[in-house]
Amino acid sequence: MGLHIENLRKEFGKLVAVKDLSLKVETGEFVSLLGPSGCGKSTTLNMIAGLLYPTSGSIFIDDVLVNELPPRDRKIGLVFQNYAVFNHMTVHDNLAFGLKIRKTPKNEIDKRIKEVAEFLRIGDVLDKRAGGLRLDQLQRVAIGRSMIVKPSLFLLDEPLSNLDAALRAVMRVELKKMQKELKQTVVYVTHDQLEAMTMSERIAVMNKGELQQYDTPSVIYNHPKNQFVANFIGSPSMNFIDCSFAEKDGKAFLDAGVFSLDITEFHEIVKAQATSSELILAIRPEDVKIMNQPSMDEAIETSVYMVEPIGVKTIVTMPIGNRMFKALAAGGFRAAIGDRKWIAFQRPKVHIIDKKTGSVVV
Amino acid sequence: MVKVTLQNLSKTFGGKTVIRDLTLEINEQEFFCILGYPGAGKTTLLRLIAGLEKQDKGDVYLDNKLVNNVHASHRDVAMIFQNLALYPNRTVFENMAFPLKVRKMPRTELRNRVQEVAKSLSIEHLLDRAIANLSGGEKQRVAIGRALVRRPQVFLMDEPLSNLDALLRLEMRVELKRLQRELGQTFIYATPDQLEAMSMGDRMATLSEGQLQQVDVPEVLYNKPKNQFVAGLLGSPAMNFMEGSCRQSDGRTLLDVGSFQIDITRFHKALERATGPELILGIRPEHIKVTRQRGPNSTCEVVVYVVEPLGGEMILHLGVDGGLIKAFAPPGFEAKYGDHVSVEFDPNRIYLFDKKTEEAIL
Repeated sequence: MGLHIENLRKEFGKLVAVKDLSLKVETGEFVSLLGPSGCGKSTTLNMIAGLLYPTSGSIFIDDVLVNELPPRDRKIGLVFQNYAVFNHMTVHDNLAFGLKIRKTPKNEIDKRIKEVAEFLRIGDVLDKRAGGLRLDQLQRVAIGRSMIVKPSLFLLDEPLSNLDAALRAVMRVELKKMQKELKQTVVYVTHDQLEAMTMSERIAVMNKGELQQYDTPSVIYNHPKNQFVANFIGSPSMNFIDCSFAEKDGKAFLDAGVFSLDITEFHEIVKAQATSSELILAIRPEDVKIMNQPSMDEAIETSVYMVEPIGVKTIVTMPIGNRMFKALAAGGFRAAIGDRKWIAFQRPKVHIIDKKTGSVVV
Repeated sequence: MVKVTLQNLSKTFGGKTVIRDLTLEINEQEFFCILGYPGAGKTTLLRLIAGLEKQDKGDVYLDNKLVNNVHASHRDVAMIFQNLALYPNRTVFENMAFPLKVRKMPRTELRNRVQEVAKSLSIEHLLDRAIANLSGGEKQRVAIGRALVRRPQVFLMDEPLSNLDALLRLEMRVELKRLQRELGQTFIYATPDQLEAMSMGDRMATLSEGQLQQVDVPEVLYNKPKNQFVAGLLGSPAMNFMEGSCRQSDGRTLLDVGSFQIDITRFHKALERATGPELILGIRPEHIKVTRQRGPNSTCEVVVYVVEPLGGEMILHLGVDGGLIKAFAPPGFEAKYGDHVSVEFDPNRIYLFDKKTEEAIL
């Protein structure tokens, strides 16, 4: 059941847009395809929808091979960024459209429209023409129009990107709530890591047509498989600093030039897995501690480059070597540009990345 | 390096009032942010300062000099737009030299000026490249550089970062603020993004329907909003609001919100300012403690609607009295859709607004 993709590949001339992608989405699961533009996420979605034919590979929806089926026979609902709502028709007629072409009886149509309209809170605009609606209402109509035919699989391509930040936050929650209540299987395409993190049961992170990691938001955030995933998830982004692996007196160190970090506990893992001595130390801003005094051995001296209070948190930017480091401090944190500070890393949160392969070693 | 003073400024377009009797003083060398929704009048305000629009009423002073009748080209003000307005097929040098050529500056002086500015923006190495081949951040710097070569006294920026992707926006935020510090120029920056306004502004103003709501340092707007509009505009996730009415009981004053009451007797003095018993209770998500079990200080019980993991933290959407409130989950807290949990409002961090006037009364 659900969606099952096997070795899916799509070539446009010489360009390989999707490279041998395999993915399983369980019934009732919310899965996001996340990546920067050009990563192949929309191409994948369009192949699932039947708008593009794969170069090779198979797509199963509810255990049925759909490769050769036209979109209307795939039991899918589709919602795009630009709504595709009929502006000249009323909301009611927009909602009824999919059912009418399926020759659903009139009383059944009316019943479903009532249900869907209530659910999406567009009951009061049913008689209005879609062209006169607000953006969020329009998006609700677009969702309602797809939802009303009770698709096995709901496919959404950046449906919220035309809305402003506040509305996007509202719609995010409503979409998620709707999906939970209907136990609807959803594949959601987005380039916004926050949307993917907050809405999905699992996230498929893609880059250059290849699946980078497929797991729950918490695993993706806390245990990224490689530097791409580590960098793409989280805001502000993870800090990276080039280091080299050094051994001395039976101990192991990450040498960053301006500081050196004892990593003896990971000595064996690093030796076994790293392809060279060039490593990258990676740490999230919330795992960097700022101190006024060098109160621990591993404190690294720096100075404040910028302080950005953002209400509940304060983002502090500080140079380390030739890189800028970001740390998240409490909302009340205050410092002036140029202030002398020391930083330290929350040791269990330090990641070590193999620079050559980009793979996370620790 | 100039002070900007606006006095009783008004502007209407075809009968619609866009700027309404606005008085504002922006200090020299200040990074001043104007925050408001699209349509609030931000761009019009900047254009009035630049002299690109003429006000119907009121005065504009640059450094105590009345400039009402001074043409835009003689105001010594530079404006940077969201779409940057660069010539894509020309080189960086040509773009930056353009305003000087128009002013018929001698060649050597022009060359020196452009080079000096390019150096200060770290784009010296790009001078011979065509604009079309630059990254978003580089283009941004060229646009600023083109404004800088004229050595204007005031920089007006109209959502200059909105076309950049999220990562770059974060980086440019820091760079712009640093640049302003180093130049020691007055920057007036319009944005719909509360994060930008709070993180960059030395002071900021919130604008709604052409009227200033509150002008102060970001911290004061965040912690002591003057009215419900400002309270709701700043902070992400936004402040929670609940309607309630005051009633007396055994000599105590209680705010009855429906499923729970809050004792507000100690705000007795402040409550005299309210125009009626109908109030709005406001509380920020970070000032709500979520617990599994009901405790002695619990405010009420709620149902978990949506769980939004952000990676480092988790936002819970909780159903109370038919509405939703948002709270941060404590570290390690596990919750799923439908769970019953308790919340505790920090009694020292609640806000009260008059329902009629929307003014803060605490």
